[in-house]
Amino acid sequence: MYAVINQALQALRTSLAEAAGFDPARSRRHFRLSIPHPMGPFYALDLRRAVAAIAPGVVAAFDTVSRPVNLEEALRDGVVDVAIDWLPVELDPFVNKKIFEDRMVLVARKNHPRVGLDVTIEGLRKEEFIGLHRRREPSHAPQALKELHSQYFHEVVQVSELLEIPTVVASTDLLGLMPSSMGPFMEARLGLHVLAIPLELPALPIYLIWHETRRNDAAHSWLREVVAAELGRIAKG
Amino acid sequence: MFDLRNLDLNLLTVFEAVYEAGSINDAADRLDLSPSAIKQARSRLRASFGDQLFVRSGKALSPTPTAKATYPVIKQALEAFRTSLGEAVGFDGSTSRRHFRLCIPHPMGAFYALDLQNAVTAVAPGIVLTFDTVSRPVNLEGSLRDGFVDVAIDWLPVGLDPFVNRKLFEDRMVIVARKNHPRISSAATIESLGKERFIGLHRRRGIDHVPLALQKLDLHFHEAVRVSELLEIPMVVASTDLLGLMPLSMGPLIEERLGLQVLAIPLELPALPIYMIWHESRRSDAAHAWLREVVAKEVGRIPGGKAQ
Repeated sequence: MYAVINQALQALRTSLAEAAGFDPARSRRHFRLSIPHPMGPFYALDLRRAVAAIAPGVVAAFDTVSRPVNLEEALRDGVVDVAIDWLPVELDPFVNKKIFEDRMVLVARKNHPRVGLDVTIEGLRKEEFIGLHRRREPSHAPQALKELHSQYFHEVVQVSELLEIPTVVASTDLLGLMPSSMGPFMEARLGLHVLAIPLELPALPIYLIWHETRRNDAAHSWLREVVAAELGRIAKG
Repeated sequence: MFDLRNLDLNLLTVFEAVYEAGSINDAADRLDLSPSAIKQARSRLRASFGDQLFVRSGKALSPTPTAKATYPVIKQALEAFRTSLGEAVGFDGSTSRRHFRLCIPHPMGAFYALDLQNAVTAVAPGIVLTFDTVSRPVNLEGSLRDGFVDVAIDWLPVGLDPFVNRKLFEDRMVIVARKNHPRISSAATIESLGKERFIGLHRRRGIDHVPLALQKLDLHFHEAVRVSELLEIPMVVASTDLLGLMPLSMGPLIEERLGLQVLAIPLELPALPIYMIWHESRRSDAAHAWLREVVAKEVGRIPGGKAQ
């Protein structure tokens, strides 16, 4: 019943917003954003600040879980307004807009006895990794992750949250694979070595994702512009 | 009456796995079989039951009404077989190939997982452990009841009757702040903390169902933003003037790796017991009893050793 009522309310909001025009300075709209990317809490803080500066009555709530459950349904039912994710939603009524290009990197603790700048793929096959439980079947993963998974690195344990990887890597001889956008933080705060993976890998595009039904929602369109501008700015450094 | 002689009883374990996993691949993973073996077993099940049993719904397999009605009976019968055969044969860790699933929502979960993995590999190399370390698990009680999760290590005890909560150790909530925070030091008072902004975690349950220590904290502090995973809190605290609340067992790691201040909360707060939780129906499962002992020994040892 909730999904039906929610959909009806969304339709009302959309048509009223279109009729009245969207004024960020006066709006009290509530947005929900899902950011499975490990920089999620930092993006959330930046977005919150950007929204508060021009739309003080707009409320933004963030779900930053690494492996969201039923994200597609939540986007379709309007429970989540937009997602910032590396897994595009391939179904037809979803829009995936690329906001920046990430890249997978290797992380190791600073004084790792075997792994440094001269690491080779053969050397990596002898090491132990901490991995993340897969979110989808391998055939649905982005190309960069597919190619990494096909290397069959030895994962001694798989965890559920991305930030567990650098946390464990900092205290053990295990290695991890993380997106390069986390690199400066992992180097500066956790003292990790962030190394290029010795493979020819494609980039990992990060998408802003929403359901096509939101196209004419003026407030939603404003939110999309804010997200694209902020994250584009962060990605440029 | 259904003639059991016409049914390969191994098919029932496939039925159970597909029902609980909701996908051929996950069921295959769980039973250590190939997806094609599961598909073949599914056709034989269809023939035996005269029903589709599972229909495709998007990427998942949904049970038909017949499968839904049959599942509890089959599940109970299989549990009875496992328990009685386990008791009769005895459990031998060194030769067992049992697969256990542990859910550890505690933020030290990944470290407990590594220690448990090492401890189990040393004495029971054929046993497979899978860890779910998500901070806010979905339907953990249902997963424990249905046997999809064997034990949980959590600060939220399950209050319902057929669950067992065994205390492993006592944790305590502390405040974390970055080292050169302009206003916060060990001399912080509850009034000064009340003026600060915190990064918080989305709640897992209604306020009535959280431990007393966390209920009391909810009244005092202003959260600027809420996130979904516990480890996001110290990461953000390290780079901003926001404060966070974390369990003390994470303290040494947070201090050492992220250079954070770990401060006692200037409030009279009860401790935060960390429990091992399982469903009462596992009481007589010898392998499960063995796992519980390993967990109690390993996780009970950690806070007194390196984590506190």
